Amino acid sequence: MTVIEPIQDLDDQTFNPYLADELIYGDIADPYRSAIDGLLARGPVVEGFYRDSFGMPHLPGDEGRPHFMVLSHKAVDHVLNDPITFSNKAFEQTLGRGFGHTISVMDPPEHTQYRKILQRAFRPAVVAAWGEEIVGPVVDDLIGKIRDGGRAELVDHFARPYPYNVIYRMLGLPQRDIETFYKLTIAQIMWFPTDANAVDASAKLGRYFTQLIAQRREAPGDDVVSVLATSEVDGEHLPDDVAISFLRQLINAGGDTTFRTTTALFTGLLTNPEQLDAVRSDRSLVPQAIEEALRWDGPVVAASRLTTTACEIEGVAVPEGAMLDMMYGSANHDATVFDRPHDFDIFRERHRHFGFAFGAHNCLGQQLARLEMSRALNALLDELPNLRLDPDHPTPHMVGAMMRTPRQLHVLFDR
Amino acid sequence: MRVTVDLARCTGIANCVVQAPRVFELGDDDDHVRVLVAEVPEADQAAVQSAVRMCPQGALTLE
Repeated sequence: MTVIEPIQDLDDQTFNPYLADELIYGDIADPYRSAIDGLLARGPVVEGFYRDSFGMPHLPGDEGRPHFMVLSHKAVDHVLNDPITFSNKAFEQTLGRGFGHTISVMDPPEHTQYRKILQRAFRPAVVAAWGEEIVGPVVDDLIGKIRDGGRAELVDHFARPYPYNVIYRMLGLPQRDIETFYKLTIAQIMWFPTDANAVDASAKLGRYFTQLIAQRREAPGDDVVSVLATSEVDGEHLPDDVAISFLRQLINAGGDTTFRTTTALFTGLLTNPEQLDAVRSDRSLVPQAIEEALRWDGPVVAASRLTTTACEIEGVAVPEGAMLDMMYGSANHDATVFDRPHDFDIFRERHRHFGFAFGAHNCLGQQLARLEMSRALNALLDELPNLRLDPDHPTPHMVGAMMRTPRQLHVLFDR
Repeated sequence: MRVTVDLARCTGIANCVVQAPRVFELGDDDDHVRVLVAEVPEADQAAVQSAVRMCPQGALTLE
């Protein structure tokens, strides 16, 4: 039986994962009104860098390439529908550096083959079972810690630990090491000012997951690592590097994105108390509240694609080898599709949003994410009566140019 | 109303199964969603229209 060595801490002892947001995503309160509206007014596809709007450094891999922003709903839809012309090799120097050879840096047909196997680990029946066995107990645990206080801060004391604890339990990581896992999880995506921490974190998580996979291959169970360890493509195991890269990505993306969208959902409802009241008294509105949170302030404002050939997007000529900023945040706020796009409105007419992207690379864990947000919101409304903003604190708002969350979310409730 | 699944696009995300479980199904060993009914019953039509619009693969078509 493979014995798993404890996870090793990051070499850089000064790295603080709780301060990482400001460092990499900036202190931008409203990129929609301050930058995105103006860019979208210039056209569906505009030459330049989204990051220039805020004086943020360009990404590794951008250097020496033509660069465009894909902004309108139609243009984003067009690009995501064509994974051959618009390649995910765009992420090789960023996600690829931290996570490794993950499906997010693959193109069809390689991507199609592995995605199919990985999707099997997230079937609706599997996700529903996680809801009972993992998500429910994590929610109960977190609510139990704040229920008696009459007041709470929901970012650090609920929304952030919540999805990470779900992932840690899914992977069976030792409780005593979760602060180290959290630090490595965030360090993986630190490409600034150097990628030293990303490379170090990636190596350490890789060593741990290699042993975890070997162990589950010897004695498989029903858990997600066992599914990855024993899945086969054409009679072959999922290659270890693909499985390990997937786990590196899962521990980050499954935690960070769900945390952020959960805070968007809470912020949207708490700052629109009439909508919060509507959901409180009619829980059948929870799913549309979640979709609106994903549209209004979805987890990823900007992603990337690389053109494999010269092409035209919504009438704009783009050369081969161009890097594209895929502006999900802009497409989700395109006023030709969404009325009053900056307003949080759970009653708006539903259209396709890009909160989970779309097409070949759409979010693989989206059912789990929806389930987690639904459980969290229902539990808050059930267990914290008369939940409302704490008037002694400034009105909360989302912050960040690339990935967003409020810094704090202070609430009151009846005991 | 009829609805079809493009098997080349469907990857079994199964949002449609969650939205309209009487119309769509994903078997335990399947990678693609199956349509269970020839004609979508009136009670499920709104849910199916939403599922078609929101399908993350663009794999569903109304006829």
